[in-house]
Amino acid sequence: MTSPAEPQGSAFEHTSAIEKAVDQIRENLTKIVDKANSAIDHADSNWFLLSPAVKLWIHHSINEFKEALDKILKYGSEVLAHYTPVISLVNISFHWLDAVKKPVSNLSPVVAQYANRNLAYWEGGTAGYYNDKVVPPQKDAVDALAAKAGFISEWLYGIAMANVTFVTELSTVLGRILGEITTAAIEAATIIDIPWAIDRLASAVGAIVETAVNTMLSIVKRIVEAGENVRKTVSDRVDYGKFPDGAWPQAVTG
Amino acid sequence: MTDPTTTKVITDNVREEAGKWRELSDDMGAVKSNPVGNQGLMLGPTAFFIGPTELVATAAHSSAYQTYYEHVQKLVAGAVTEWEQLGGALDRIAAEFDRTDQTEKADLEKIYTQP
Repeated sequence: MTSPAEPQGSAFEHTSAIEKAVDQIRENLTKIVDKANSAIDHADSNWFLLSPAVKLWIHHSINEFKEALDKILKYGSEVLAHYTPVISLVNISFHWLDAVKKPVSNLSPVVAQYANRNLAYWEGGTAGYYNDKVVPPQKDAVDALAAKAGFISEWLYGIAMANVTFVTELSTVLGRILGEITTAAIEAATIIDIPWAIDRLASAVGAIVETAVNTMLSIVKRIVEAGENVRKTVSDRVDYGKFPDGAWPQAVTG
Repeated sequence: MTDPTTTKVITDNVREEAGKWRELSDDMGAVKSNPVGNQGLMLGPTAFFIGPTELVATAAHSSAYQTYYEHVQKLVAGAVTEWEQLGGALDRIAAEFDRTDQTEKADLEKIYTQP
């Protein structure tokens, strides 16, 4: 996982990127399935004209093509089935920043300053206790709380951005595959060209899918690592110095 | 100019300080009710990965996040309570200053214990 960063831009910007990619995936999945079926039908309808050796060759190419296609289509259908909760992930990474970290940080100077500056003339043990024992732990705690909100915001944002990259990559790849199928359909206009077109399509799509899957798996690895690292990080962040017994420091007991 | 060192003025300023903590408690209360306290930041396992579910065991992410979220919820709620009580403690100090007509001494054990 790259070092976490505070959310950049707006939540809407990132959720729109996801929605745009998902829309393209939905659209391209339909087109790919239609075009792939019609390309295979086209080969099948000319099947009786082909020699047994060519039939075997085409059969092999079609299988190779279908296998690669199925792999990437599965990714596509999985994304369509559950992209909505990831939209929440993006939004919540921003909520931690805007609705928790920022307002809590804003309280910090108020905690530290007197409501009335002339309270500085308050003296004696009562004032000393308030200034030394009461206020500082509250100030430290409010700062630590703001830092906690910032940490979790960054952690979620890192995972959210990995998801955005994943879905954008998938959308791009499906677009390229659709392009390859469209090209192959044109190339296969004559019977003579069908075996060549299908063979070329199968290897092109196979290569695209292999590269894409590797790229996507490296993104997946970042998300997996974020999950593995967080347990330790979360326990480190409990910070018993500032939060005795993991709780807000008590100025007033009982 | 009012003399800021008189017992009366210092006592008034201690009361004003009590009000500061109550306002802080209200401000933290606003963070608590929106969105921390109302489960507005909840994320289930499906929120962590957009792709094929078998590729990432997102239950780990979700449970770590949930633990962290609950911890923060507890802290925020703790601050709301503590700051409200701190306002009360400063009011008790002010009342004690009024009673004893001085501002340096009070039974701090009693002051800083929730009645």
